[in-house]
Amino acid sequence: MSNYPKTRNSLILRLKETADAEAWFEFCEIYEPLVLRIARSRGLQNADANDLAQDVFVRIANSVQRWEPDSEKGTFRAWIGTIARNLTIDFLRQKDRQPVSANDPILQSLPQRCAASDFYDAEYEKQLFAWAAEKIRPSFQSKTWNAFWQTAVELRSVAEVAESLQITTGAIYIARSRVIAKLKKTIERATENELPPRSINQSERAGS
Amino acid sequence: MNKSNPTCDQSRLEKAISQTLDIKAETELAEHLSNCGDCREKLTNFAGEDSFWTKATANLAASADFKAETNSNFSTSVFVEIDPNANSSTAVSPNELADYAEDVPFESPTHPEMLGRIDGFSIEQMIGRGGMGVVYKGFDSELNRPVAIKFLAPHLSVSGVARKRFAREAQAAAAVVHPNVVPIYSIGTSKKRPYIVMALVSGRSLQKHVEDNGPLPPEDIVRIAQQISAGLSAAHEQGLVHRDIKPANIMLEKDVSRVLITDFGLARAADDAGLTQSGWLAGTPHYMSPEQTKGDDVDYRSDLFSLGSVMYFMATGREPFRAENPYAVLQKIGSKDPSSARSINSQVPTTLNDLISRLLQKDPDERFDSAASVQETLKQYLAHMQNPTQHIRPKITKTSDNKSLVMPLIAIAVGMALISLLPYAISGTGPTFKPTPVNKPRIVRPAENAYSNATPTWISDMSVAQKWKSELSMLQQAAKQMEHPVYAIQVTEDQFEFQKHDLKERIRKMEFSFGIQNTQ
Repeated sequence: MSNYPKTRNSLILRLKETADAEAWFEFCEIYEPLVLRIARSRGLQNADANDLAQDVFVRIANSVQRWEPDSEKGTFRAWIGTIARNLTIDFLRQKDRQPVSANDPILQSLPQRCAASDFYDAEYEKQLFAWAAEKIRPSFQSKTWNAFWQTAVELRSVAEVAESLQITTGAIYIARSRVIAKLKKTIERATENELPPRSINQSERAGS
Repeated sequence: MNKSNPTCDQSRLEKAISQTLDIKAETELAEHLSNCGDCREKLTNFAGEDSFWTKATANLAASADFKAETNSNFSTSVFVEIDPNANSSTAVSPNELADYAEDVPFESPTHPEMLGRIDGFSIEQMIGRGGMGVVYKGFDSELNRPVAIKFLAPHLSVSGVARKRFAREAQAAAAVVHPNVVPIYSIGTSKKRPYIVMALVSGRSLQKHVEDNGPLPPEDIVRIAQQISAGLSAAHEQGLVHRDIKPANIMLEKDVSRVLITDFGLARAADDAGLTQSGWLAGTPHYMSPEQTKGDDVDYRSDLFSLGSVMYFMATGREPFRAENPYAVLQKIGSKDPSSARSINSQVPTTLNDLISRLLQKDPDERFDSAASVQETLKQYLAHMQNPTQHIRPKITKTSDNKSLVMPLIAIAVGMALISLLPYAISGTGPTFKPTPVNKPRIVRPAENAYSNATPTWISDMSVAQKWKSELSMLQQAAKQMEHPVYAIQVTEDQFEFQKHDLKERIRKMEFSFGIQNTQ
């Protein structure tokens, strides 16, 4: 029956390698909140932030079509990561150039603003750690996790935490090292093969 | 402190981190660490260098407060959350409904016990939610009868083309009057969100029925399949292809042994809205036909394949093509033959088994000629089951047997033909077409080249943002689907956490085996 148009293949079908599809899922998990938060940090309303995120993802999706495994580009994961970075930084720069009204929230945050790329990289790192922490957390008992969190993140004293958690100080050292080791592994796995920023040339940039 | 302490042992520290110490050894080590600063330092360094600890502290402290914010504000607004149990007729809690409040497509109610009203219908409660939209139980006050009202999901409602198509398909579906097809009473397309008013079937879906009861007895399978094929046959005669036949779209009427197919035409309308295959949308790719997974033209024979999958599900309690993720399922449908239903459930009679595998042929030509002939065969079979002495068993020709002989021959022939073309290819003369690589037994996709030629057909008449929103929701849905195994109906928080963790672990292993992190 030829009056039925061709069904359209989804993006994910176009990713020939299952590993790439997996990388895509993980990518969305890491980058979606990142892009949204960055947008919000520049005073965008929720809805606008969502629009920006969608825009970025659409452009990435468009370039996914051009994805060909190629040793110069590194892995798929690294490649889409770089595209996301470039697009978001572009957005930040644009936003920085736009005139702002006196009561624009952007103005309030102006003093502590730094270069767009540094800002992005810092936010990215934050997001990466938050994501990795969420990811590994279920694999630890809550006591182990608390021992880590309270001493390594909240920087409370080992003795104090040991008492409140009712474990020995030695156990705290073991616990937090374990968490750190796993955190490190998770982050390394997610960022492996990431190319150093800017090593992808402009023509690779999505949509521009 | 105790630098010369014999219990300072590097390997013990390593084991502590990789969690390979037994409890006793660990307790000993903990005790030792309380006193030995040297070992503490070693352990710390072994877990991660100083700079990593510092980074972790700074980043995690900074991120602690944005986690809550991200969860509450963002994820739900970009990703359309889809309930995996969408078709089970469970009422939705008011709390859950509140999440959708801004999205409620109808006017405020006239009666406090109602949710709202639209045109002549009052809306009582939400009874299901799926990729296509939300279904409410409603009441037609003019004709004094209960109805089911299905609103098209917002992301499907935006494009004018999609809305028109939706109306056309709904009209076509309404023209199918058959006892095995859920009747469509009316449609509304003037409002912001188009909707369909259908008969309210009291009963449950085949999906739920099999989930609760496990594989069905052969006679039930044949009886249900016979009715599905009858409904399909009626629709096919009108030129309407369902495109999303799956257990969740088959309703079993309460008390009466009647089977009804629902959601005719919806898959098509959704597809037209720039989305992908119907199966994706509706939450599962498991019942798609090979031609659907490849994006080829789809005709009524696609429904026959899906019917085969549904019968397989009834016979075995599971889908014929299963894999770790939806993507892999699609690949399997296109390339692998499922293990026979009989090999999974020995109770399945050979005739039924052959019938199912005949429907599950990759090549549409190898399946039955029509839904009508499937129905005829099933009818005959049912008669035989009920009265074997009076009725003969239908004969199912097994096409797969000949195929297994023929295929290698074709492969050899093609291979030889290609070899004979080789000199031309090398010298650059001769035929200009590219020979298909023989070493790749993958299905050749005629449409594949089209994609590399830049025009993304899936981004056409809809705003890109909207399209992508749908695309994202689909991905999210796929991920969700992975987190909710098909059979998990009610799970406790603990079980869920465990499953989630287990799933993540599986994904990690999969990535590992695909060498994501080992490529260089």
